Amino acid sequence: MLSYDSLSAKHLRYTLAISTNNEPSTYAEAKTNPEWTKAMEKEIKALQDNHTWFLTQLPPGKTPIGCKWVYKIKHKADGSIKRYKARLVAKGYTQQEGIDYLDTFSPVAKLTTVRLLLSLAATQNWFLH
Amino acid sequence: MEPPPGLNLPKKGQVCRLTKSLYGLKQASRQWFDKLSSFLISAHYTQSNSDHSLFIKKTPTNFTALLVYVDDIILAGNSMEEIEHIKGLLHSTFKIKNLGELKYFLGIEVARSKKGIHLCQRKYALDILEETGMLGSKPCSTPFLSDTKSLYKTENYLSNPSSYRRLIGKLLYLTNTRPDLCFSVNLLSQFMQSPTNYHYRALQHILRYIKSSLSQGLFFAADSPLQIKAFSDSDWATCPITRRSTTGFCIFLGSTLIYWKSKKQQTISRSSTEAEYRALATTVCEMQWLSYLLQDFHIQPSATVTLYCDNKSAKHIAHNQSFHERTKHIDLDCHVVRKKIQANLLHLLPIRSEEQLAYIFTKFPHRVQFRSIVSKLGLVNIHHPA
Repeated sequence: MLSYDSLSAKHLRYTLAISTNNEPSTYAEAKTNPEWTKAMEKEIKALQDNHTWFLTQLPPGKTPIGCKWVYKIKHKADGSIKRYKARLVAKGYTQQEGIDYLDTFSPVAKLTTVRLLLSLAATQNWFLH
Repeated sequence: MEPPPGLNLPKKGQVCRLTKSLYGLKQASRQWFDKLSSFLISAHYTQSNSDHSLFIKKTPTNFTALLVYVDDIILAGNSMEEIEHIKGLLHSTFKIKNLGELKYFLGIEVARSKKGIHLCQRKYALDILEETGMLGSKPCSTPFLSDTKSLYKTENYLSNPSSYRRLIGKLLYLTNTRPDLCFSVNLLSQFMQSPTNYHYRALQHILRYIKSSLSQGLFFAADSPLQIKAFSDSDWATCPITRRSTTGFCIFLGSTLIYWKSKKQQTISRSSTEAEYRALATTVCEMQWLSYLLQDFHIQPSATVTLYCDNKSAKHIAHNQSFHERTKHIDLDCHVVRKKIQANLLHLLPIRSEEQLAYIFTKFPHRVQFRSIVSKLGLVNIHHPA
Protein backbone atom coordinates (compact mmCIF):
# COMPACT_ATOMS: atom_id res chain seq x y z
CA MET A 1 0.00 0.00 0.00
CA LEU A 2 1.06 3.56 -0.56
CA SER A 3 1.31 5.80 2.45
CA TYR A 4 3.26 8.92 3.32
CA ASP A 5 5.03 7.03 6.15
CA SER A 6 7.14 5.05 3.72
CA LEU A 7 8.62 8.12 2.05
CA SER A 8 12.05 9.35 3.04
CA ALA A 9 12.18 12.61 5.02
CA LYS A 10 13.58 14.47 2.02
CA HIS A 11 10.98 13.10 -0.37
CA LEU A 12 8.22 13.84 2.15
CA ARG A 13 9.29 17.49 2.42
CA TYR A 14 9.23 17.75 -1.38
CA THR A 15 5.83 16.09 -1.71
CA LEU A 16 4.35 18.34 0.97
CA ALA A 17 5.88 21.45 -0.57
CA ILE A 18 4.46 20.80 -4.02
CA SER A 19 1.04 20.03 -2.63
CA THR A 20 0.75 22.94 -0.16
CA ASN A 21 2.20 25.98 -1.93
CA ASN A 22 -0.59 27.73 -3.71
CA GLU A 23 -0.04 29.40 -7.02
CA PRO A 24 -2.33 32.26 -8.05
CA SER A 25 -4.52 31.72 -11.08
CA THR A 26 -5.36 35.31 -11.95
CA TYR A 27 -3.47 38.55 -12.35
CA ALA A 28 -5.58 40.25 -9.68
CA GLU A 29 -4.56 37.58 -7.18
CA ALA A 30 -0.88 37.72 -8.10
CA LYS A 31 -0.70 41.53 -8.06
CA THR A 32 -1.09 41.60 -4.29
CA ASN A 33 2.02 39.49 -3.72
CA PRO A 34 5.40 41.26 -4.10
CA GLU A 35 7.15 38.01 -5.17
CA TRP A 36 4.82 37.54 -8.12
CA THR A 37 4.97 41.23 -9.09
CA LYS A 38 8.74 40.95 -9.20
CA ALA A 39 8.53 37.79 -11.32
CA MET A 40 6.20 39.46 -13.82
CA GLU A 41 8.42 42.53 -14.10
CA LYS A 42 11.32 40.24 -14.81
CA GLU A 43 9.44 38.34 -17.55
CA ILE A 44 8.26 41.57 -19.21
CA LYS A 45 11.80 42.91 -19.16
CA ALA A 46 13.11 39.69 -20.74
CA LEU A 47 10.47 39.84 -23.49
CA GLN A 48 11.21 43.52 -24.16
CA ASP A 49 14.96 42.87 -24.24
CA ASN A 50 14.32 40.22 -26.88
CA HIS A 51 12.20 42.70 -28.87
CA THR A 52 9.32 40.24 -28.86
CA TRP A 53 6.87 43.05 -29.69
CA PHE A 54 6.56 46.75 -30.35
CA LEU A 55 3.68 48.97 -29.36
CA THR A 56 1.39 50.28 -32.05
CA GLN A 57 -2.19 51.34 -32.69
CA LEU A 58 -4.59 48.54 -33.57
CA PRO A 59 -5.33 48.50 -37.32
CA PRO A 60 -9.05 49.01 -38.02
CA GLY A 61 -11.12 45.86 -38.32
CA LYS A 62 -8.66 43.63 -36.45
CA THR A 63 -9.02 41.94 -33.10
CA PRO A 64 -6.01 41.43 -30.89
CA ILE A 65 -5.07 37.97 -29.59
CA GLY A 66 -5.64 37.62 -25.88
CA CYS A 67 -2.92 36.75 -23.40
CA LYS A 68 -2.64 35.72 -19.80
CA TRP A 69 -0.15 35.10 -17.05
CA VAL A 70 0.67 31.63 -15.83
CA TYR A 71 2.25 31.35 -12.41
CA LYS A 72 4.41 28.49 -11.26
CA ILE A 73 6.56 27.91 -8.23
CA LYS A 74 9.76 26.05 -9.00
CA HIS A 75 11.05 23.83 -6.23
CA LYS A 76 14.47 22.54 -5.37
CA ALA A 77 14.86 18.84 -4.69
CA ASP A 78 14.54 19.40 -0.91
CA GLY A 79 11.20 21.16 -1.29
CA SER A 80 12.42 24.72 -0.67
CA ILE A 81 11.38 27.33 -3.20
CA LYS A 82 13.85 27.89 -6.01
CA ARG A 83 12.03 30.70 -7.77
CA TYR A 84 8.70 32.23 -8.58
CA LYS A 85 8.13 31.93 -12.27
CA ALA A 86 5.63 34.05 -14.18
CA ARG A 87 5.18 33.26 -17.84
CA LEU A 88 3.22 35.26 -20.37
CA VAL A 89 1.30 33.07 -22.79
CA ALA A 90 -0.76 33.99 -25.82
CA LYS A 91 -4.26 32.60 -26.11
CA GLY A 92 -3.52 30.70 -29.29
CA TYR A 93 -7.02 29.27 -29.42
CA THR A 94 -8.40 32.70 -30.38
CA GLN A 95 -6.37 32.65 -33.58
CA GLN A 96 -8.19 31.77 -36.78
CA GLU A 97 -6.66 29.61 -39.47
CA GLY A 98 -6.04 31.48 -42.71
CA ILE A 99 -6.26 34.88 -41.01
CA ASP A 100 -3.80 34.68 -38.16
CA TYR A 101 -1.73 31.70 -39.22
CA LEU A 102 -1.13 29.35 -42.14
CA ASP A 103 1.01 26.30 -41.41
CA THR A 104 1.51 24.82 -37.98
CA PHE A 105 3.08 21.48 -38.74
CA SER A 106 6.39 20.76 -37.08
CA PRO A 107 8.10 17.41 -37.21
CA VAL A 108 8.97 15.35 -34.15
CA ALA A 109 11.16 12.30 -34.01
CA LYS A 110 9.44 9.00 -34.65
CA LEU A 111 9.95 6.57 -31.83
CA THR A 112 11.16 4.01 -34.34
CA THR A 113 13.99 6.34 -35.30
CA VAL A 114 14.82 6.75 -31.62
CA ARG A 115 15.01 2.96 -31.24
CA LEU A 116 17.06 2.57 -34.42
CA LEU A 117 19.48 5.26 -33.25
CA LEU A 118 19.88 3.62 -29.86
CA SER A 119 20.35 0.15 -31.32
CA LEU A 120 23.01 1.50 -33.69
CA ALA A 121 24.65 3.30 -30.79
CA ALA A 122 24.82 -0.04 -28.97
CA THR A 123 26.45 -1.91 -31.86
CA GLN A 124 28.69 0.91 -33.11
CA ASN A 125 29.73 1.87 -29.60
CA TRP A 126 28.71 5.51 -30.04
CA PHE A 127 28.61 8.06 -27.27
CA LEU A 128 25.07 9.02 -26.29
CA HIS A 129 24.06 12.35 -24.81
CA MET B 1 -1.83 41.07 -29.06
CA GLU B 2 -3.57 42.74 -26.17
CA PRO B 3 -1.03 44.36 -23.89
CA PRO B 4 -0.44 42.10 -20.88
CA PRO B 5 -1.69 43.34 -17.52
CA GLY B 6 1.22 44.90 -15.69
CA LEU B 7 2.79 46.55 -18.73
CA ASN B 8 3.02 50.33 -18.55
CA LEU B 9 1.57 51.88 -21.69
CA PRO B 10 2.58 55.37 -22.73
CA LYS B 11 -0.66 55.87 -24.67
CA LYS B 12 -4.06 54.31 -24.13
CA GLY B 13 -5.51 51.91 -26.71
CA GLN B 14 -2.18 50.62 -27.90
CA VAL B 15 -1.57 46.94 -28.71
CA CYS B 16 1.55 44.83 -29.00
CA ARG B 17 2.56 43.78 -32.47
CA LEU B 18 4.46 40.51 -32.12
CA THR B 19 7.71 40.21 -33.98
CA LYS B 20 8.69 36.95 -32.36
CA SER B 21 6.84 33.83 -31.39
CA LEU B 22 5.33 33.53 -27.95
CA TYR B 23 4.40 30.50 -25.89
CA GLY B 24 0.86 29.35 -26.67
CA LEU B 25 0.64 30.65 -30.22
CA LYS B 26 -0.50 28.17 -32.83
CA GLN B 27 2.73 28.59 -34.78
CA ALA B 28 4.99 28.43 -31.72
CA SER B 29 6.26 24.89 -32.33
CA ARG B 30 6.77 25.47 -36.03
CA GLN B 31 8.75 28.67 -35.45
CA TRP B 32 10.93 26.87 -32.95
CA PHE B 33 11.68 23.98 -35.28
CA ASP B 34 12.44 26.32 -38.20
CA LYS B 35 14.88 28.24 -36.08
CA LEU B 36 16.56 25.12 -34.72
CA SER B 37 16.87 23.42 -38.11
CA SER B 38 18.34 26.47 -39.84
CA PHE B 39 20.82 26.75 -36.99
CA LEU B 40 21.85 23.09 -37.37
CA ILE B 41 22.18 23.40 -41.13
CA SER B 42 24.44 26.40 -40.65
CA ALA B 43 26.54 24.18 -38.36
CA HIS B 44 27.08 21.78 -41.33
CA TYR B 45 24.46 19.24 -40.37
CA THR B 46 22.26 17.76 -43.07
CA GLN B 47 18.60 17.03 -42.51
CA SER B 48 17.51 13.47 -43.23
CA ASN B 49 14.74 12.98 -45.75
CA SER B 50 13.47 9.82 -44.11
CA ASP B 51 12.86 11.43 -40.73
CA HIS B 52 12.91 15.20 -40.81
CA SER B 53 13.84 15.49 -37.17
CA LEU B 54 17.13 13.69 -37.75
CA PHE B 55 20.28 15.67 -38.47
CA ILE B 56 23.57 14.11 -39.49
CA LYS B 57 27.12 15.38 -39.76
CA LYS B 58 29.69 13.16 -41.44
CA THR B 59 33.36 13.82 -41.89
CA PRO B 60 35.90 11.20 -43.05
CA THR B 61 36.59 10.16 -39.48
CA ASN B 62 33.70 11.47 -37.44
CA PHE B 63 30.01 10.72 -37.46
CA THR B 64 27.45 12.59 -35.37
CA ALA B 65 23.69 12.21 -35.37
CA LEU B 66 21.25 14.55 -33.69
CA LEU B 67 17.61 13.65 -33.09
CA VAL B 68 15.15 16.38 -32.14
CA TYR B 69 11.92 15.95 -30.19
CA VAL B 70 10.76 19.57 -29.76
CA ASP B 71 13.32 20.69 -27.19
CA ASP B 72 14.59 17.27 -26.17
CA ILE B 73 17.62 16.34 -28.19
CA ILE B 74 19.58 13.07 -28.42
CA LEU B 75 23.16 13.24 -29.62
CA ALA B 76 25.02 10.17 -30.79
CA GLY B 77 28.37 9.79 -32.44
CA ASN B 78 31.88 8.46 -32.32
CA SER B 79 33.59 11.74 -31.52
CA MET B 80 33.22 13.19 -28.04
CA GLU B 81 34.82 16.42 -29.32
CA GLU B 82 32.09 17.07 -31.87
CA ILE B 83 29.36 16.23 -29.35
CA GLU B 84 30.80 18.69 -26.83
CA HIS B 85 31.22 21.27 -29.59
CA ILE B 86 27.62 21.14 -30.80
CA LYS B 87 26.36 21.05 -27.21
CA GLY B 88 28.25 24.25 -26.48
CA LEU B 89 26.77 25.90 -29.57
CA LEU B 90 23.24 24.79 -28.66
CA HIS B 91 23.70 26.07 -25.16
CA SER B 92 24.98 29.48 -26.21
CA THR B 93 22.29 29.99 -28.88
CA PHE B 94 19.20 28.45 -27.29
CA LYS B 95 20.12 28.03 -23.61
CA ILE B 96 19.53 24.29 -24.00
CA LYS B 97 20.63 22.48 -20.88
CA ASN B 98 23.27 19.82 -21.00
CA LEU B 99 21.99 16.77 -19.17
CA GLY B 100 25.09 14.68 -19.79
CA GLU B 101 24.93 11.06 -20.75
CA LEU B 102 21.52 9.88 -21.99
CA LYS B 103 19.51 8.41 -19.11
CA TYR B 104 15.95 9.60 -19.56
CA PHE B 105 14.22 10.64 -22.76
CA LEU B 106 10.48 11.27 -23.18
CA GLY B 107 9.70 9.18 -20.14
CA ILE B 108 11.85 6.28 -21.34
CA GLU B 109 14.57 5.14 -18.99
CA VAL B 110 17.83 4.26 -20.73
CA ALA B 111 20.37 1.99 -19.05
CA ARG B 112 23.67 1.17 -20.68
CA SER B 113 26.29 -1.47 -20.01
CA LYS B 114 29.05 -3.12 -22.03
CA LYS B 115 26.55 -5.72 -23.22
CA GLY B 116 24.10 -3.21 -24.65
CA ILE B 117 21.33 -0.74 -23.98
CA HIS B 118 18.09 -1.39 -22.14
CA LEU B 119 14.99 0.76 -22.50
CA CYS B 120 12.05 0.68 -20.13
CA GLN B 121 9.20 2.86 -18.93
CA ARG B 122 9.04 1.59 -15.36
CA LYS B 123 8.28 4.98 -13.85
CA TYR B 124 5.59 5.69 -16.43
CA ALA B 125 3.98 2.28 -15.86
CA LEU B 126 4.03 2.83 -12.09
CA ASP B 127 2.33 6.20 -12.52
CA ILE B 128 -0.45 4.60 -14.57
CA LEU B 129 -0.99 1.92 -11.93
CA GLU B 130 -1.02 4.51 -9.14
CA GLU B 131 -3.50 6.71 -10.97
CA THR B 132 -5.91 3.87 -11.62
CA GLY B 133 -5.59 2.48 -8.12
CA MET B 134 -4.31 -0.84 -9.46
CA LEU B 135 -1.12 -0.90 -7.37
CA GLY B 136 -2.61 -3.44 -4.99
CA SER B 137 -4.10 -5.67 -7.67
CA LYS B 138 -3.23 -9.26 -8.32
CA PRO B 139 -0.60 -9.62 -11.05
CA CYS B 140 -1.22 -11.96 -13.97
CA SER B 141 0.91 -13.56 -16.64
CA THR B 142 -0.69 -12.46 -19.93
CA PRO B 143 -2.18 -9.14 -21.05
CA PHE B 144 -5.34 -10.58 -22.55
CA LEU B 145 -8.55 -12.22 -21.43
CA SER B 146 -9.33 -15.59 -22.95
CA ASP B 147 -12.82 -14.48 -23.88
CA THR B 148 -12.77 -12.03 -26.80
CA LYS B 149 -16.39 -12.50 -27.85
CA SER B 150 -17.65 -10.30 -25.03
CA LEU B 151 -15.69 -7.37 -26.49
CA TYR B 152 -18.20 -7.19 -29.31
CA LYS B 153 -21.34 -7.21 -27.13
CA THR B 154 -23.47 -4.11 -27.38
CA GLU B 155 -24.59 -3.68 -23.80
CA ASN B 156 -23.32 -2.30 -20.50
CA TYR B 157 -21.92 0.90 -21.97
CA LEU B 158 -19.72 2.97 -19.70
CA SER B 159 -21.50 6.12 -18.55
CA ASN B 160 -18.26 8.11 -18.50
CA PRO B 161 -15.94 6.96 -21.29
CA SER B 162 -13.36 9.74 -20.91
CA SER B 163 -11.30 7.91 -18.29
CA TYR B 164 -11.23 4.84 -20.54
CA ARG B 165 -10.00 6.97 -23.44
CA ARG B 166 -7.33 8.63 -21.33
CA LEU B 167 -6.09 5.30 -20.07
CA ILE B 168 -5.90 3.89 -23.61
CA GLY B 169 -3.84 6.91 -24.64
CA LYS B 170 -1.41 6.28 -21.82
CA LEU B 171 -1.12 2.58 -22.59
CA LEU B 172 -0.48 3.38 -26.26
CA TYR B 173 2.50 5.43 -25.18
CA LEU B 174 3.66 2.58 -22.97
CA THR B 175 3.77 0.28 -26.01
CA ASN B 176 6.82 2.25 -27.17
CA THR B 177 8.98 -0.12 -25.15
CA ARG B 178 6.40 -2.88 -24.67
CA PRO B 179 5.57 -4.73 -27.90
CA ASP B 180 3.98 -7.46 -25.76
CA LEU B 181 1.08 -5.09 -25.03
CA CYS B 182 0.74 -3.87 -28.59
CA PHE B 183 -2.06 -6.07 -29.88
CA SER B 184 -4.19 -5.96 -26.72
CA VAL B 185 -4.04 -2.18 -26.47
CA ASN B 186 -4.63 -1.80 -30.19
CA LEU B 187 -7.70 -4.00 -30.05
CA LEU B 188 -9.17 -2.14 -27.08
CA SER B 189 -8.41 1.23 -28.68
CA GLN B 190 -10.83 0.33 -31.46
CA PHE B 191 -13.68 0.79 -29.01
CA MET B 192 -12.86 4.31 -27.86
CA GLN B 193 -16.12 5.69 -29.21
CA SER B 194 -18.43 3.60 -27.04
CA PRO B 195 -16.56 1.44 -24.55
CA THR B 196 -18.48 -1.10 -22.51
CA ASN B 197 -17.91 -2.62 -19.13
CA TYR B 198 -16.29 -5.65 -20.83
CA HIS B 199 -13.67 -3.43 -22.39
CA TYR B 200 -12.95 -1.83 -19.06
CA ARG B 201 -12.48 -5.25 -17.51
CA ALA B 202 -10.05 -6.20 -20.30
CA LEU B 203 -8.18 -2.97 -19.64
CA GLN B 204 -7.84 -3.85 -15.98
CA HIS B 205 -6.44 -7.19 -17.04
CA ILE B 206 -3.72 -5.42 -19.03
CA LEU B 207 -2.90 -3.30 -15.98
CA ARG B 208 -2.55 -6.44 -13.86
CA TYR B 209 -0.17 -7.87 -16.45
CA ILE B 210 1.85 -4.63 -16.38
CA LYS B 211 2.06 -4.96 -12.63
CA SER B 212 3.72 -8.34 -13.00
CA SER B 213 6.34 -6.98 -15.40
CA LEU B 214 7.09 -3.35 -14.49
CA SER B 215 10.67 -3.11 -15.70
CA GLN B 216 10.11 -5.14 -18.83
CA GLY B 217 11.69 -3.40 -21.77
CA LEU B 218 13.65 -3.70 -24.97
CA PHE B 219 17.26 -4.77 -24.95
CA PHE B 220 19.64 -3.67 -27.71
CA ALA B 221 22.62 -6.01 -27.70
CA ALA B 222 26.02 -4.60 -28.56
CA ASP B 223 27.04 -7.70 -30.55
CA SER B 224 24.01 -7.69 -32.83
CA PRO B 225 24.65 -8.03 -36.60
CA LEU B 226 23.38 -5.30 -38.93
CA GLN B 227 20.80 -7.13 -40.97
CA ILE B 228 17.17 -6.20 -41.39
CA LYS B 229 14.90 -9.14 -40.67
CA ALA B 230 11.15 -8.99 -40.56
CA PHE B 231 8.20 -11.19 -39.67
CA SER B 232 4.82 -10.52 -41.17
CA ASP B 233 1.51 -12.04 -40.16
CA SER B 234 -2.19 -11.38 -40.50
CA ASP B 235 -5.41 -12.51 -38.95
CA TRP B 236 -8.25 -12.80 -41.40
CA ALA B 237 -11.51 -11.07 -40.44
CA THR B 238 -10.51 -10.38 -36.84
CA CYS B 239 -13.36 -8.01 -36.33
CA PRO B 240 -16.71 -9.85 -36.58
CA ILE B 241 -18.59 -6.61 -37.20
CA THR B 242 -16.63 -5.08 -40.08
CA ARG B 243 -15.02 -8.35 -41.26
CA ARG B 244 -11.71 -6.55 -41.66
CA SER B 245 -8.41 -8.30 -41.03
CA THR B 246 -5.44 -7.37 -38.89
CA THR B 247 -1.88 -6.75 -40.06
CA GLY B 248 0.95 -7.49 -37.68
CA PHE B 249 4.65 -7.22 -38.24
CA CYS B 250 7.89 -6.87 -36.36
CA ILE B 251 11.22 -5.79 -37.79
CA PHE B 252 14.59 -6.61 -36.28
CA LEU B 253 18.00 -5.14 -36.82
CA GLY B 254 20.04 -8.27 -36.24
CA SER B 255 18.82 -9.54 -32.89
CA THR B 256 17.20 -6.34 -31.68
CA LEU B 257 13.58 -5.46 -32.24
CA ILE B 258 13.18 -1.89 -33.45
CA TYR B 259 9.81 -1.66 -35.14
CA TRP B 260 6.48 -3.40 -34.80
CA LYS B 261 2.87 -2.67 -35.48
CA SER B 262 -0.58 -4.13 -35.17
CA LYS B 263 -3.24 -2.51 -37.31
CA LYS B 264 -6.71 -3.22 -38.60
CA GLN B 265 -6.61 -3.35 -42.40
CA GLN B 266 -8.49 -0.69 -44.31
CA THR B 267 -10.18 -2.95 -46.82
CA ILE B 268 -12.00 -6.22 -46.51
CA SER B 269 -10.07 -9.24 -47.76
CA ARG B 270 -11.86 -12.12 -49.42
CA SER B 271 -9.42 -14.76 -48.25
CA SER B 272 -6.77 -15.25 -45.61
CA THR B 273 -4.17 -15.34 -48.37
CA GLU B 274 -5.22 -11.92 -49.53
CA ALA B 275 -5.05 -10.54 -45.98
CA GLU B 276 -1.60 -12.08 -45.65
CA TYR B 277 -0.46 -10.57 -48.95
CA ARG B 278 -1.64 -7.13 -47.87
CA ALA B 279 0.27 -7.50 -44.62
CA LEU B 280 3.38 -8.42 -46.63
CA ALA B 281 3.00 -5.26 -48.72
CA THR B 282 2.75 -3.07 -45.60
CA THR B 283 5.79 -4.72 -44.07
CA VAL B 284 7.85 -4.31 -47.25
CA CYS B 285 7.12 -0.58 -47.32
CA GLU B 286 8.18 -0.17 -43.71
CA MET B 287 11.37 -2.17 -44.33
CA GLN B 288 12.14 0.09 -47.25
CA TRP B 289 11.81 3.12 -45.00
CA LEU B 290 14.15 1.56 -42.45
CA SER B 291 16.78 0.83 -45.08
CA TYR B 292 16.61 4.48 -46.22
CA LEU B 293 17.14 5.50 -42.62
CA LEU B 294 20.14 3.17 -42.35
CA GLN B 295 21.59 4.79 -45.46
CA ASP B 296 21.23 8.17 -43.78
CA PHE B 297 23.17 6.79 -40.84
CA HIS B 298 25.85 5.67 -43.34
CA ILE B 299 25.44 2.08 -42.20
CA GLN B 300 25.94 -0.69 -44.74
CA PRO B 301 23.67 -3.66 -43.92
CA SER B 302 25.61 -6.91 -43.74
CA ALA B 303 23.12 -8.92 -45.86
CA THR B 304 19.98 -8.61 -47.97
CA VAL B 305 16.81 -7.88 -46.09
CA THR B 306 14.82 -10.98 -45.25
CA LEU B 307 11.12 -11.30 -44.71
CA TYR B 308 9.51 -14.33 -43.09
CA CYS B 309 5.98 -15.35 -43.84
CA ASP B 310 4.11 -18.49 -42.74
CA ASN B 311 1.45 -18.47 -45.44
CA LYS B 312 2.38 -20.66 -48.43
CA SER B 313 -0.15 -19.23 -50.88
CA ALA B 314 0.82 -15.63 -50.17
CA LYS B 315 4.43 -16.59 -50.73
CA HIS B 316 3.45 -18.26 -53.98
CA ILE B 317 1.63 -15.15 -55.25
CA ALA B 318 4.62 -13.01 -54.36
CA HIS B 319 7.04 -15.24 -56.27
CA ASN B 320 4.98 -16.03 -59.35
CA GLN B 321 3.33 -13.76 -61.80
CA SER B 322 0.69 -16.31 -62.63
CA PHE B 323 -2.61 -14.60 -63.12
CA HIS B 324 -4.75 -15.95 -60.44
CA GLU B 325 -8.51 -15.97 -60.71
CA ARG B 326 -8.76 -15.13 -57.04
CA THR B 327 -6.18 -12.34 -56.89
CA LYS B 328 -7.15 -10.11 -59.78
CA HIS B 329 -9.01 -7.68 -57.53
CA ILE B 330 -6.01 -7.06 -55.25
CA ASP B 331 -4.80 -3.50 -55.51
CA LEU B 332 -1.78 -2.92 -57.67
CA ASP B 333 0.13 -1.31 -54.83
CA CYS B 334 0.25 -4.67 -53.05
CA HIS B 335 2.50 -6.00 -55.79
CA VAL B 336 5.35 -3.91 -54.43
CA VAL B 337 6.35 -7.19 -52.77
CA ARG B 338 6.72 -8.94 -56.14
CA LYS B 339 8.73 -6.04 -57.59
CA LYS B 340 11.21 -6.10 -54.73
CA ILE B 341 11.69 -9.84 -54.97
CA GLN B 342 12.30 -9.62 -58.72
CA ALA B 343 14.83 -6.86 -58.21
CA ASN B 344 16.60 -9.14 -55.72
CA LEU B 345 16.23 -6.57 -52.96
CA LEU B 346 14.33 -8.89 -50.71
CA HIS B 347 14.34 -12.55 -49.68
CA LEU B 348 10.94 -13.93 -48.85
CA LEU B 349 11.40 -17.06 -46.79
CA PRO B 350 8.94 -19.52 -45.27
CA ILE B 351 8.75 -20.08 -41.57
CA ARG B 352 6.89 -22.54 -39.44
CA SER B 353 3.84 -21.13 -37.69
CA GLU B 354 5.28 -21.94 -34.26
CA GLU B 355 8.27 -19.73 -34.97
CA GLN B 356 6.25 -16.85 -36.34
CA LEU B 357 7.14 -13.97 -33.99
CA ALA B 358 4.58 -11.59 -35.47
CA TYR B 359 1.89 -13.91 -34.15
CA ILE B 360 1.41 -11.86 -30.98
CA PHE B 361 0.59 -8.76 -33.04
CA THR B 362 -2.45 -10.35 -34.65
CA LYS B 363 -3.79 -12.96 -32.23
CA PHE B 364 -3.88 -13.99 -28.61
CA PRO B 365 -1.62 -17.03 -28.30
CA HIS B 366 -1.59 -19.55 -25.52
CA ARG B 367 0.19 -18.44 -22.36
CA VAL B 368 3.18 -20.71 -22.92
CA GLN B 369 3.61 -19.62 -26.53
CA PHE B 370 3.15 -15.98 -25.50
CA ARG B 371 6.00 -16.23 -23.02
CA SER B 372 8.28 -17.94 -25.51
CA ILE B 373 7.65 -15.28 -28.18
CA VAL B 374 8.13 -12.43 -25.70
CA SER B 375 11.54 -13.75 -24.73
CA LYS B 376 12.52 -14.09 -28.40
CA LEU B 377 11.49 -10.50 -29.09
CA GLY B 378 14.39 -9.38 -26.91
CA LEU B 379 12.22 -8.19 -24.06
CA VAL B 380 14.14 -8.21 -20.82
CA ASN B 381 13.05 -7.45 -17.29
CA ILE B 382 16.06 -5.85 -15.65
CA HIS B 383 14.78 -5.75 -12.10
CA HIS B 384 13.62 -9.32 -12.17
CA PRO B 385 15.63 -11.74 -10.04
CA ALA B 386 17.23 -14.00 -12.63
